[in-house]
Amino acid sequence: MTTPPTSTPPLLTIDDLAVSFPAKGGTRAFAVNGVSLTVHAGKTLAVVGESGSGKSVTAMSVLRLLQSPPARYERGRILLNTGDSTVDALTLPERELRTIRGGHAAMIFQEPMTSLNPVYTIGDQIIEAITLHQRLTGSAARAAAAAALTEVGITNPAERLRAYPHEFSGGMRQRVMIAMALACKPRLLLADEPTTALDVTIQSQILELLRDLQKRSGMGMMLITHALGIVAENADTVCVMYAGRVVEYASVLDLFDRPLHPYTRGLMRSIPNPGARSRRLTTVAEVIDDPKQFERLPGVRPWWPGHPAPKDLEPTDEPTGECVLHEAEPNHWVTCWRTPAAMST
Amino acid sequence: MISFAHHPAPRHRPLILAAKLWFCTTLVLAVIAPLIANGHPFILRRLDASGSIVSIEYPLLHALTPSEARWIGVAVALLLWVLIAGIGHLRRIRISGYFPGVLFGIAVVFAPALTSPPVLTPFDSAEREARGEIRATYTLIPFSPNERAGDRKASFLPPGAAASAGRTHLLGTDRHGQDALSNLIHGSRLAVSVGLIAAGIATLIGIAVGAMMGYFGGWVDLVLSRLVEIVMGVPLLFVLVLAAGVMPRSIEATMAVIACFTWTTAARFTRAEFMKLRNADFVLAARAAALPTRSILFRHMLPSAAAPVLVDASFTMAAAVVLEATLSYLGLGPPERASWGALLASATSDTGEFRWWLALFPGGAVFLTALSYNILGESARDALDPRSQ
Repeated sequence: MTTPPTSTPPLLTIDDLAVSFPAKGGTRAFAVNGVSLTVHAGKTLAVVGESGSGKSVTAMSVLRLLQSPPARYERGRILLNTGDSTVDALTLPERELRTIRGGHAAMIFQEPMTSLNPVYTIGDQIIEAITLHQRLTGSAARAAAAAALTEVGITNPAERLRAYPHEFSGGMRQRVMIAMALACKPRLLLADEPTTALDVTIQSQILELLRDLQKRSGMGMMLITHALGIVAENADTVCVMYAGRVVEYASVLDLFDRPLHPYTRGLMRSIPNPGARSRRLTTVAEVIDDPKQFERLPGVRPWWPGHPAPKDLEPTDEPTGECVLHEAEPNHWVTCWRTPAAMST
Repeated sequence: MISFAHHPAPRHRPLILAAKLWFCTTLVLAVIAPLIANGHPFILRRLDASGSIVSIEYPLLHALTPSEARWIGVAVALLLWVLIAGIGHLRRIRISGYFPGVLFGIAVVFAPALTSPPVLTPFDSAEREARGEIRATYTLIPFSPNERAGDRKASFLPPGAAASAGRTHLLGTDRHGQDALSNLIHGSRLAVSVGLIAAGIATLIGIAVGAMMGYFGGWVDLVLSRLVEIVMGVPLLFVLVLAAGVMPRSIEATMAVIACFTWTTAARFTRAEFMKLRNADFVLAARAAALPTRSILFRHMLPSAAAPVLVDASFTMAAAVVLEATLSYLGLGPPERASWGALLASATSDTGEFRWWLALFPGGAVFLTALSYNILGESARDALDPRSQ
């Protein structure tokens, strides 16, 4: 999609992913519908959107972690570059998927309070993860676990390994989760709202830690969040999602400079601005409900669910349906209605 | 009603304590029964004509079967371990981690070597003692459970009746003239072992099946749930009676049949817990780290799901004890093994006479054992489940 900054192939390419869940009356609701994105080594892709927009489902699909059934992968490919080959996570046999999970791509979750097993010590859990992917035993594994804790800034690691999760604060637990995720040196890190459950001070510490670790290891990161502030500080590329679709996809500078989709503009304008104290905040709905917002792009019309389709809509013969990612500016993509103008870029 | 009390209602406490005591008593009795109630003298001194001691023997130790000796050896090893570990803790001496292993190894391997089966020693010590050939020191209850006085008059003696060589049948005798108290004590071995082993196997099967149902869901759940329903529909007592006819009449067969038909409740509890847990964040994290399914199921999920299953296991234990007693009462228990049910069957017989001591004591033992397991299960539920009152 975006041209890679280097000649190396991307670590992760999601192409037209669609995941559905059973809904009322035997129909299926699409949690994700036609999502495409790429993650490059050493770069961070931020996936931003509100609850239910399909961010987490996308990330979970990369490691095929969704319970299936009820979830069903309807379309698409998830190409993972494992260094010497490229595999599709959606068709990979379970056994080979195991080497991907934790080894090639690791994931950290939103809730550090519940993501650690309460009945085992931190050491037990890190060592179990380490010995799974590396041939280490006994004291060597213990040393590696202690080193992993040092990496994430936990002091006195040898002693902390013997502690149980309840003896840690939320921020410390998230550090432990990061240590576990990174213990096997993954090339791709999927961070599903890693700081949502933490207070702002700890939030910035954890993000700084992730940036630092990324700089050292050169891993690619998919950072899921709903906070635009986090996006601005941490991302190289941004993917804005709504209702299971990518609505805008651009480099972080382009996106914050010129948000092209009304929804993105709505998100930007709903951020409080300390400089303009008297002004009432604009809501996302106010921007979306303004028809003029959708007439700013020459020739094409940004897609929005519930809006009437333009008259020259192409017949929706392909499964993605009525919308298409349109490259409105170089490397700046907006989801528009599938009109001839939108398709000819 | 919502209550914010942090402690369970104190009025249950003495009951729970009594149940624990009874549980431990039957367990200890089951292990050391041959040391408490045995017709073989514990110490036997051979005397010459002048009455001085020629030699000293320990017939009781030699008469133990290898498995009895092994269990007693394990119990002694456990006692030694607790003692030495306790002393080591007080004196701050570090004890090697291999120590308990070595101790139990010695007990399991060498304790049977102290015995010398087959047992040929007849129960004639009393007569020889009367003739002045020996002087014998007996254990607490000087009767073996299968020790029969030669004549019919010894049957159905009431409690406190005198036996040969100055011994007393404290709780009377049964239809074969066997000592009731000795049978009662030895009968605890059958009851406790059936309770623990049958319920243990049933719980293990139930956990394995329930874990798969709850974790995988889908068609695995569908198929196994139907299996659970089928097994639940089988009347267990009839199967046991049938099994007594077609299978060898052994305690192992009884345990196996009981286990094969009582695992269903454990499976249902495990299934429900695993369904709750399978979407827990730490399970998701474990899957994301590619832990093997076996490890996720039994290392990570089971400890959090075990509480209701363990509570259920205690009820299964109580049911197994009652089932074993029922089978033995019907005369379908393992032959030549002391059993509460068999003793109970002596209470009424062809003459139509009712022997209260043969109904009260074994019946009471079955009742108290089943009740104590149920009370312990209830108290475990109160302790483990914060929602129940």
